[in-house]
Amino acid sequence: MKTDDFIKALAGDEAVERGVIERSTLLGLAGAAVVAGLTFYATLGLRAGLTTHAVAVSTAIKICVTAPLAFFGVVAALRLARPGAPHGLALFLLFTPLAVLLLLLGIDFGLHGLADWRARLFGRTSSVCSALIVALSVLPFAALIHGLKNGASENPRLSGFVAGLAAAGVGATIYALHCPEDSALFMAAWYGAAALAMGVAGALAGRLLRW
Amino acid sequence: MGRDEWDDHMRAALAGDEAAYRRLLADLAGACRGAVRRIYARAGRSELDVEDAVQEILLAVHVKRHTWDPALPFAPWAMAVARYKAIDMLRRRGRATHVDIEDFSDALAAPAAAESERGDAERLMERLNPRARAVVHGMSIEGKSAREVGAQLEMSEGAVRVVLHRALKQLAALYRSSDV
Repeated sequence: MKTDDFIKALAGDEAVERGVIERSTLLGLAGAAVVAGLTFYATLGLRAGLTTHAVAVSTAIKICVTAPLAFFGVVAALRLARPGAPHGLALFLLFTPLAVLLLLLGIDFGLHGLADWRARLFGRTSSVCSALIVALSVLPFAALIHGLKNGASENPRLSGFVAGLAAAGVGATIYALHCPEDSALFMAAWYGAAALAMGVAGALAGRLLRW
Repeated sequence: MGRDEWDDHMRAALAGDEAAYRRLLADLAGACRGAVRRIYARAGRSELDVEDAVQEILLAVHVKRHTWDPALPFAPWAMAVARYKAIDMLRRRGRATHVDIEDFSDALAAPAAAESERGDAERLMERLNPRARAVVHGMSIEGKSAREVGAQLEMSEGAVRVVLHRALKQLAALYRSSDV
């Protein structure tokens, strides 16, 4: 076929799916987060004493790490879905949750040094924490990938990695409402492991984002 | 057309200006042809495949054009799409080669060869359903308008455009999953 003829067919198709990446990704993610949240509420439930001051503060601090991971992760994934768009800043901002976590770790070590580090690291729920966060992240992850397939990432593996981190941010934000641990060391290890696992799974699933 | 004019043409195209879109795609085809020729020469691929590659890039540009942010210049977007597809095409055929961003940013426009030799587009069109194939064939090779194709197939013009839209998306997926 002549390329000029091929162009005629392309030009005859006027339907532009404007905004479809953002719309499908965000709506899908919202739906997935609601389902994951309800499942969480029905099974794990909220942490006891969540309305008391101490518990509320501890939970809010955890969400100060997990919510930015979700937010900046989604922003970066959407940015990466547009070819040629500068995404350096978006990827840089993805370090925000890591910076907050390091700050919390610094404060934790500053206050407690190495005393009881084993108890602080493992708490009582280390055996289930990462797995539960991953379980809560699966549906948001699927929704993100489904939405991002409308995009055109130049680096599907990186996009998948970022989507995995973002999904872990959503799952961890939900889980934080249940998590009975208060140590930053615990959070760095087990929330971190879950985020890393989702990131790696995302990178492996990145081929789904090829176009 | 200079690359600085691409922005306006693409904005017009997104607003429904078919003529502007045709001019832009023809210009883009020229730029991609020069780049692909250079890349294929380096990868030891036949010159004959260049036009098929150009058509696949144009189709990708078309089905992914909603990912261009009109606040940003069009050329970097288009060249990023072209570069991605060039790498993808070489990888599908099992050839690893380096594709520089400069391959596309510096490429001089090259005139078209008469026709694609291998005819990937026609071959993949065979795999569309008969109606979709008739619509794409009518609007490309026969050069008919959506209205004319509609009259021929006893469909409304709108229905023809819906079929065309789906067919092009399906064609893009067929390119991707094929080993051509």
